[in-house]
Amino acid sequence: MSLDGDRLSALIGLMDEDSETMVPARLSILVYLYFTQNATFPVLQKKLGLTSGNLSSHLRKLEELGLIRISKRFVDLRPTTFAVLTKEGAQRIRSQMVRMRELVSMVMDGASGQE
Amino acid sequence: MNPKEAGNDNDRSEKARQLLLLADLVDKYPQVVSRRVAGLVHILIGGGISFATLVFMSLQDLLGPGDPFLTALGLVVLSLVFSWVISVRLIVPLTGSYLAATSASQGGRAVSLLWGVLAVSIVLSALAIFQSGSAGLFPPTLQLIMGCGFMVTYVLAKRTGSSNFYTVDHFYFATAILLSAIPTFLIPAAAYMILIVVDMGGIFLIGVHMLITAERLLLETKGQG
Repeated sequence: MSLDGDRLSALIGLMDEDSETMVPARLSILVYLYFTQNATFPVLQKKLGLTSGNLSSHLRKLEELGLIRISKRFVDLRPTTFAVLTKEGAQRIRSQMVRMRELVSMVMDGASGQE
Repeated sequence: MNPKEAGNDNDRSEKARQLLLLADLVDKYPQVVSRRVAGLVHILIGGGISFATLVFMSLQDLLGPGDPFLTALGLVVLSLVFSWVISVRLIVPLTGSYLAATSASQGGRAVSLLWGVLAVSIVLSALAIFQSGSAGLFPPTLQLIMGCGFMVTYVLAKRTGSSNFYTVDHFYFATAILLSAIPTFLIPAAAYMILIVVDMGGIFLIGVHMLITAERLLLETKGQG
């Protein structure tokens, strides 16, 4: 599959435009929360294979952006961190994925046309 | 192209396909949520109105039969208020994150408008029927209005492309309601029982079906972009 200049720059433009969420770890946190609405810290860590330091820094950044809400609750007498996707977070991830799909399918169509 | 480059290309194509599949899933998920919510609303409305009707009829037995117009009006108003409280106040706010994509469609507005008009026409026809002294005509009239409502809802959904939400079961349900107008007309003594069994039973079954088949929308995703 080869990329032509315009499509490649469109893809790079999309990633630059939203460089704060177009980080693989942050994108996977948002996509996971999109389907589950909320998750505890240990569950996110296990499902996404991230270290606790890495995960907490990404969660903090996403909370600053207003895409998730973080709260602490006691579960079985132990403090547990919950991450909840906000309405803005759900809308952002959906629009990003739809735009990414358009670009990737254009690239794939272009590549199959060249073959 | 050497074998290593070809392998890299295949790898990239595979990753791109997975990305397309994920994007499709993300895009379709609000439909799944709205179908699940609609299923839950149908079940609660079907079950709730049946239960409320049972209480209403028992009270009527205890207190003695009153004015048939007030009885029918009470049933209709009770059903409308109950449906509104369940769907608008209790269930829909739970899905706030996904609503922007699903609620603003033209089809959704047309369906809301249609049911608003039908609710008014039910009340007006009830007034006209009971004032003319032919109370027996109310159940078949109600069935005809409801049947037409569900049929038009289905047709509108097909035309606006939201047939994932209003599936063919709504068509079968509309047909069942329209056909049940005949026995409600011929057997007035059992008219309200037929009405409750067909309408509430149908709404309940549609709700269960919507809940069960909500995930099927995701299975139809093939990652084609």
